[in-house]
Amino acid sequence: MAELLEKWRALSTQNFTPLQASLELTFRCNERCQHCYIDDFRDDPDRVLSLDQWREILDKLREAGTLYLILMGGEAMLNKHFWEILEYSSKLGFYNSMISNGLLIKDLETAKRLKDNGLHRITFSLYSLDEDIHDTLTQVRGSFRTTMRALQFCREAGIIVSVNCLLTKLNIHTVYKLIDWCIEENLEIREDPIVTPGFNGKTDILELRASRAQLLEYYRERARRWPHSLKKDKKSNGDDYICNVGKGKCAITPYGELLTCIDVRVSLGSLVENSFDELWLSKEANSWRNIKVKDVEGASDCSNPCELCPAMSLTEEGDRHKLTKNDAELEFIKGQVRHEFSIE
Amino acid sequence: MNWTITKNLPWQQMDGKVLILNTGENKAHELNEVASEVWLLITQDKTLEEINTEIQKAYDIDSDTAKEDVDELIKEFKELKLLV
Ligand SMILES: C[S@@+](CC[C@H](N)C(=O)[O-])C[C@H]1O[C@@H](n2cnc3c(N)ncnc32)[C@H](O)[C@@H]1O
Repeated sequence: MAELLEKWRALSTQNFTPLQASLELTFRCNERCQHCYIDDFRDDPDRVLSLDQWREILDKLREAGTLYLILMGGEAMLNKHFWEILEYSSKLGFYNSMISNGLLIKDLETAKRLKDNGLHRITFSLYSLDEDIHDTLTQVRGSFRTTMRALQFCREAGIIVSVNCLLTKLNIHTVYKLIDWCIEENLEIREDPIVTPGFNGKTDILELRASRAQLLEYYRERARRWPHSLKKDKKSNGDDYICNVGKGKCAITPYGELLTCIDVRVSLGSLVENSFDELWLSKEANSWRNIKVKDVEGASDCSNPCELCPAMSLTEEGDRHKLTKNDAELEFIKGQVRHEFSIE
Repeated sequence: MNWTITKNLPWQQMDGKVLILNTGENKAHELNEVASEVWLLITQDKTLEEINTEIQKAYDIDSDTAKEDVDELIKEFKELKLLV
């Protein structure tokens, strides 16, 4: 099964078919995460979409070839049409997943309703098993307990559950316990070592990035547990794309604007007012999707050149064809750990 | 023959082929060209007769052969729990 899905993913990248679309259903949120890239947790009332407009967007994505939908935000469930959108999306045949803090999943009944309406998978943002640390990051007291309860409700309802943990200087030292717990509970966990800059280029949240010493410790622990995870990708000849931006994935903002990736905050235009192809085949979209390893100075020496992010380069270095200082720093850290553990 | 598509069944088409994710069974199915065509007709709420006619026309075969092939496919979709 994994092989078949991988084949479809590869094909979608090749064909520029947006097999996966992230839908930001709202910027509103019931948490106030210190690290969040959203700068204003409000929707412009003049620009929010009606239910019919969301349905129209889903029809267009379906036509464009999308299979996987990732509902997010903000907190997706705060969109007043959330349930109708989910129901319609299931009717059209999408695979629905959601990234959530779970604060609105307060009982088993709600979790069952999500399952019944076609939510196949939910990823909870969990920052630590230490309640204080989690709540300090989300800036909502009690959020850890509510998220953990929601996670159990969703498992009980039969939804596939996984965990996302952004690593910051405040929680990185506690991630090992979280990983062990996820293994014990048979939950997939994805750790993300990079705090991205905020929308509108806001960089103050970058101060939350883990320090070199913390990241060295993190990668050493990974090397002890899973040495293969630090292996370099096979050397690129330069013609590989640096990421999947504008190819096998796309994103939609709460106002219905089409993006080449959720991290690239350059609107291709309104998907309510335009056809998908008009926007997707535009010059702007091409300029993002065609960036190759050879176009980014120093990228071919990176251990994972196809995971570089041109949006971060643009915000942090003012040029999407430049490696960020943070990329270089991570490369240095991983290189040092590979050397210490004799990983090729 | 009666059927309905299994509830909340994700699927999509690319390059003339259909991929169906049977999440309940944790399985994925890539359909061949004819099966994809029949699946697409099913999702457009076509009747059995309409599907037979479309397949007969598309593949330039006689109506009995088309009927047999379509029956076989629908039986298989049911066995795979893609239809109920
Ligand atoms: C913006 S949230 C929206 C969904 C939901 N409200 C939640 O908390 O999961 C989606 C994911 O982005 C991550 N995230 C937020 N700000 C980030 C940043 N500056 N850099 C990297 N990831 C970030 C969160 O940890 C979360 O897993």
